[in-house]
Amino acid sequence: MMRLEAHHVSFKIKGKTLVNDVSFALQRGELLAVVGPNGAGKSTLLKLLCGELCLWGGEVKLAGRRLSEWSVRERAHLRAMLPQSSTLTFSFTALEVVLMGRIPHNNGVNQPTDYQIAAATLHRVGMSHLAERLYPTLSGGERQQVQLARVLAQLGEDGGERGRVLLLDEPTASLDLAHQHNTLCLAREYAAMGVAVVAILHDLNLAAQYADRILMLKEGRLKEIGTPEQVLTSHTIKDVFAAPVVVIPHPQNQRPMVVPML
Amino acid sequence: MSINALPTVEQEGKSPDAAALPLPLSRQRRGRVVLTGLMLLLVVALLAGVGIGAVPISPPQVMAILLEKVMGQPILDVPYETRQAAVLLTIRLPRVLLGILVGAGLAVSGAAIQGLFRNPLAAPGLIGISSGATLAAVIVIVLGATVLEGLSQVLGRFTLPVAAFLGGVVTTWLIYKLSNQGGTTQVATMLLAGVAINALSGAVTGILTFMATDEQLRSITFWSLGSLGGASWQALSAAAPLILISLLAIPFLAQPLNALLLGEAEAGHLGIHVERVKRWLVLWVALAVGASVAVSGAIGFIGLVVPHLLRLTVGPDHRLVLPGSALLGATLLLAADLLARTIVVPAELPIGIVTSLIGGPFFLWLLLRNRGHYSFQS
Repeated sequence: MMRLEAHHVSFKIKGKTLVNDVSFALQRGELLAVVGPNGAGKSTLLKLLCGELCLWGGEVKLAGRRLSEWSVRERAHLRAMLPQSSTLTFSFTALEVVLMGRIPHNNGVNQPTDYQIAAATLHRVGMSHLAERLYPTLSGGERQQVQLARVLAQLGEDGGERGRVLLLDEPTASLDLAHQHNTLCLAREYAAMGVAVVAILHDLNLAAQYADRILMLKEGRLKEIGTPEQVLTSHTIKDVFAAPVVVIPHPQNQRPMVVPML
Repeated sequence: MSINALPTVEQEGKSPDAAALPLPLSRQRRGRVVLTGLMLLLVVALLAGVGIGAVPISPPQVMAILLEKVMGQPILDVPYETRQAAVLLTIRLPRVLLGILVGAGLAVSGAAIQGLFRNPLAAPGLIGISSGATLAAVIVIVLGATVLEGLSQVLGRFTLPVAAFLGGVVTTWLIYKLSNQGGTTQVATMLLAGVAINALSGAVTGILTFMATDEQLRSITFWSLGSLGGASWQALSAAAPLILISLLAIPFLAQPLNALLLGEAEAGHLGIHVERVKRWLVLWVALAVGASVAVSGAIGFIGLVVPHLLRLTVGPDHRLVLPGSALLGATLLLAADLLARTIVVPAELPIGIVTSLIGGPFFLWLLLRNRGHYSFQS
């Protein structure tokens, strides 16, 4: 059963169509990278997939049922979403923020398992040394990692077995090189456990390295969907991004590597 | 408190190099200590509130009087005078109980509004309750004998509190409706609608004040400054259910309020019914503050300062801030009331003066203390 399906999904606001007739299906263990130029509709598409925005047309199915048929609470058990940026200004500690990811799974009182899961995910993103630091005092990249830990804590230890869906909106923004790769390795680990992952990425090379498939958006429309080799051709990239590139195989694993031409 | 000093939890077989991590006990432990301390403080304030005054009553005498009243016969072997019992049971006890309810109600409502607006500088007045209640009260004071004569005759001395309550609730409802578009309530719009409606009701209040006689002006002034002097068992029985419901209901929204601080979208992703939570919060706050203002006038600063103090000591987790605010709000209002009725004996200062006189400079001190890192404090 497909964990996440989009059928002719569209979104229009104030007469402007931001997402136009996008369809795809994602199964367990798959990592789909969504790429495209600024304003292509990537974030909007993700918000439609997680239920934050109301569809203008088409339908989204989560675990075989339409999104609208799941209650808000049930959705929280099926999928977790990392937003592009966070506006938390209150002085929670990093660990308390991660613990909030367990809200759908407890009824107000944190259980020992909640603490364990929160501590574990904070460790996995490499931020456990910041557990007792106040969130507003962290750098942008550190905050993003804490939010990621929160979202992973929401998936829980059995997220893979339950085939949960992980939606990541630019998880590598404001991260340094090492943390960018660490984050995507983590996403791959969760995919390997059975989670279905959709990640918006700006870096085509990161997408090429870590994604099973790439979905390329142009002006709200689905331009291409397929393996990195199929999608990342210099012709397609020139067409969508208006940037001349040459695509060469990566020296380690022969995956496509996009090199800009000057 | 160093991390190494805290007990740790072992990661069993998750990953070989997973460090043993501390549970967040420091804040939780501190929270428990603070809440216990606040409970004790409240008991002290309660005993002081019932015991101090023109007719002093010692704590053992208080217990003796209460026990005998409840059990019907003397329990404790503590002598007391009949006039002490009369003062305690008819004057002091309802006043102190009202002070506890109003203090707790205002403080918890303040915390809830700050969570709703995601802004520690928010206060219940933002959603129009105080200005609406004041407007209704002024209408009754100035026009009660003439235009609203029929109403005054029906409600008698309940005209003012009932009007104030309705005025507050209706104004809040209006502001809520204005900010509600297609089923979603825009918090930013609510803030602006509050500004506009508050200005409007302030203007109308001003016009009526302009029309008022000297006698009416005095009434208006004292109503605006607040007082627990009107406390009676009757007033208490009217206000108590409304405030108690809110005091019991709002803490259940503690976890949703925490999630809301992450952002409305994020709270939705975590399974919170954001619109429902907002609606309930506005309702409970309107009831609690409306009832408080109706029986004791406009008392300021409690809703703003008390949650702040809590956050500075126990952090922003609403599961600690809400109960803590109730306890501290009650204690502070009792202390303020004690001051109000003893400092210019035999007269009584309006309690709003005391809360503002102490609250204002205290708030300033808080600001100055945290000036360097204010953006990082809650």
